[in-house]
Amino acid sequence: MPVGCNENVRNFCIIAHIDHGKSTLADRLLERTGLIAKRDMVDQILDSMDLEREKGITIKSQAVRLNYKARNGKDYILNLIDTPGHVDFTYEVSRSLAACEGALLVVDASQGIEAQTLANAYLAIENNLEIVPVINKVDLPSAEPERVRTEIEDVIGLDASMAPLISAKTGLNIDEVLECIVNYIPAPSGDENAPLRALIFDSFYDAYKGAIAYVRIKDGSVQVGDNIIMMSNGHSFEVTEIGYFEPTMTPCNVLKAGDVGYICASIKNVKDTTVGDTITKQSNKAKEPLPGYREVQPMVFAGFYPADGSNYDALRDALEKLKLNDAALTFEAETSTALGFGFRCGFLGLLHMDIIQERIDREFNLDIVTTSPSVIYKVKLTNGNEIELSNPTNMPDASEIEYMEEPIVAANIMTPNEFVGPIMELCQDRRGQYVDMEYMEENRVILKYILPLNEIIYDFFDILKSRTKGYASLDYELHGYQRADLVKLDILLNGDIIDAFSMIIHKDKSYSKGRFVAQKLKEVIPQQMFEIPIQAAIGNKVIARETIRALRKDVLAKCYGGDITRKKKLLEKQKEGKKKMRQFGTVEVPAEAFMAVLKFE
Amino acid sequence: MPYCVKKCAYCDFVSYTDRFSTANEYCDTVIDELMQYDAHGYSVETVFFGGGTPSAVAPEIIMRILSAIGQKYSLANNAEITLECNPCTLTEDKLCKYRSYGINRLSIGVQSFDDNVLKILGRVHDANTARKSIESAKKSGFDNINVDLMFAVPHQTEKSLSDAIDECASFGVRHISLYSLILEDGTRLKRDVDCGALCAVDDDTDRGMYHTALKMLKEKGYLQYEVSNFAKPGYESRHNTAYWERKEYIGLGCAAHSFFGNKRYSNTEKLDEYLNGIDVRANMLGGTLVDKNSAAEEILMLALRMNKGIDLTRFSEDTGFELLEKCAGTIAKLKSEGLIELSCNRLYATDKGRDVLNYVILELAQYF
Repeated sequence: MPVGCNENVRNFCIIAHIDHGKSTLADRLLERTGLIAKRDMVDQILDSMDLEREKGITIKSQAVRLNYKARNGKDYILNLIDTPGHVDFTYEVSRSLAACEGALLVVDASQGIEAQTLANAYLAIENNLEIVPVINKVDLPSAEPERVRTEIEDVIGLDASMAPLISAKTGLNIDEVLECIVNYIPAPSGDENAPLRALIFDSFYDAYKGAIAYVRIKDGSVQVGDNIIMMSNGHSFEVTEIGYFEPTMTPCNVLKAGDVGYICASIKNVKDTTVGDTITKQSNKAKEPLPGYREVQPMVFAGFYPADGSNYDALRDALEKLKLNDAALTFEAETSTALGFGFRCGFLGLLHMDIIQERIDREFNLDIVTTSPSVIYKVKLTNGNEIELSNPTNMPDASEIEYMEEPIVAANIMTPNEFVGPIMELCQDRRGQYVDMEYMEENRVILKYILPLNEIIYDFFDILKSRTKGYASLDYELHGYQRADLVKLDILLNGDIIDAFSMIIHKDKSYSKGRFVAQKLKEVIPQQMFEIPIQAAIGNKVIARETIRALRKDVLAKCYGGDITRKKKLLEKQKEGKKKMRQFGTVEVPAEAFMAVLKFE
Repeated sequence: MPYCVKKCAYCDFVSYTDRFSTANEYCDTVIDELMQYDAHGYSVETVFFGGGTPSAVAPEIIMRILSAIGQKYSLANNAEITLECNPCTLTEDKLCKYRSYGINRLSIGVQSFDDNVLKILGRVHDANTARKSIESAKKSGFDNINVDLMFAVPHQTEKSLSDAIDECASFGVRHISLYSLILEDGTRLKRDVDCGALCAVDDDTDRGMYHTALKMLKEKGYLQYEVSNFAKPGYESRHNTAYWERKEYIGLGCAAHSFFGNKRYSNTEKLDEYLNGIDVRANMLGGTLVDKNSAAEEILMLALRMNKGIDLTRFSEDTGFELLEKCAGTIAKLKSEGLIELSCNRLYATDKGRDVLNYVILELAQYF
């Protein structure tokens, strides 16, 4: 197969609403082009992390090269670039799209167009991609492919007359999809003789080869031995290997304009292969980087502590290993009087935090306790200084604070107009400022709001989805800082402040949150031999109080006729739970208490 | 004997209400199971027919099993042989037969003498049937009679409980088992409570009833020797005590558990599977060997149930650990909380400690 023969290359991605069959279609394309034998198929092969398969979402994007002999008799190289599918990763999605000329828009034949379909379709249109609609799951009894075809035309305004009707599950009409890719998606353009410009759309860390960049070559070419430069920071490296994914790494001699592949250059730090950055050559530098680069900034911070204090070093190892693959993750050591030694970690958003937490659990088998997530506040002190604050414990005394500012975001919420009421109510409840409402078409609108970031990091997205039956989609970007009446809410157990529960919160919300946390803790902290008062307080003022009554009865009336294994199993479980208890003075608190208080509503 | 006339509302034991026709076949399987054991050097101290409802099947089945045990092992002269029975199924004819087979202890599932409580528990008998069954048992010559009672049943009053204890005492029963109702998953009672049809008794009321009962039983000469068991002196159940003292026992029959050769193992809970026959050797091979740490846990969870508590010398012999050294800090804490006491080389739970025994056990068990 000749490499870099542009006419015969197609770079595309698949975009879809969650569960509409994106990963299954990808599997089928891999199988049909002979890349993976049917017997080797693990379902959803591109979602290689267990977590991705389970959550049905793609966290890290991947790219594979498919070889396809089309009906016109010519051989084609089809580069399939997978995209992540969550609001936390919108930026990553946009970079993946920027690496393609076209996109397959998969729509479920019975569900029709949904929020994400639309959000992703618009993102693809913004990136000037040629969109090929594909109607999936036509084998289901409830399928209405013709209705969905009309819907695609009416709502998105795409010509769907050629959209293949497929079943990714059964493999029906997969060849039509391949033909559409060849016939409708344009071959890449770009000047092979211009200075190298390669877009990094993903990266991962390999223990032997270092950080490896997934790239789309926009201009020029690259080969082993070239000295390359990362245009965002000027760091230079010598290329040690280039190649593409089939789907395993397959080295080749040269990557030219239009190609998709990988570059290894003994890069020690994944930070040097930042998504969105442009790679060029030292010898023949490009004048301008490719547009759209953005530095990744963690927006949400939380403390991670080992549930068992002796696992501190193991947790640090785990974070270091995860960071190799995840430029967006940051962490530094911190201590808590309640939780001991741990780390303050920074994340793109709450899903990102969830994912890191679960990966620590699954891949490193470590139980951790997390503190309330926080954003970065700016605190203007009475002495004229300004400090940044992401850990509530470090909040100065109220008397030293002139005022505080919190980060805000400009949010676009796309929704069918029937849900405008509930969404406005939600945004208002989250201290949002209404900016504008635009009609995209007769019954779809974009609501624009300015929202405090700390109001949307916990559960805003989930609630938005549930109040709109999954139809609304959210996109936001940072929009600076604004003053707010913020207070530090403390939680006291048996009279002692438990610093890990402290949070910075808007004054208007402090009472309801304080009550909620106190009630929740009453539910999750087991009864002990003495009464335990739980208080929520702002400064010295107690705003909520609950009491855990002393344990009166905890005994098994009967040991079952010689079957002591039941009681033994129970005891083993209780011992496990006990290990995860944190001792605060005389009070024992289970690790799940820390998560339980985060989930408001 | 996994057969019952009717499933009680609180019961999650293995029992079948519609399979009485298999009882003879079942008896054959039990005997076959028994015969597979190597009897060499063992004599049997106690036999306990539990259930299900052993009194619900033909007495001849009990006889066949008992004589098989007698053939296989030497039955100690003073062996304690108990049969669990349900007031409804006891007839004078059966009682006479039981006596003639050598059964010398009856455990009658009375639960309450309050018809409302019996109804909520889903028992088949009423209070009068219960009274008659105790009288008949005595008339047939049974001296060693246990009555099972329950408390903390929804709608049960403290008076209903104290009346029951009074009645037992006036019948002159020698042993009372007094159980706080456990709402087990999968039982009708649990479902009724979960859906709000019945209101579970709260812990304060539960302990109120328990402590009233403790006081009454003591006054009437029933000495507590375990969390839920009370007896006139000399009438403590030797069979149950063997469980708590971790003596060896062989469980025969569907869903039966055994502790033999320092292994814990159990039989299938499925009646049909059991009727197909049991391979004792395979069963034992699949069992769990009790290691030192596990033995320590077992002693904590079993021996602390008994008022006399843990024999510290036996503890170190059985486990290789010195309990007082290993758990020094926790023992001091539990003592200061008034939950345990130490004397005469024994560690035991106080009345207060027995109310929260799981807590006491867990605090100590974390060292093993």
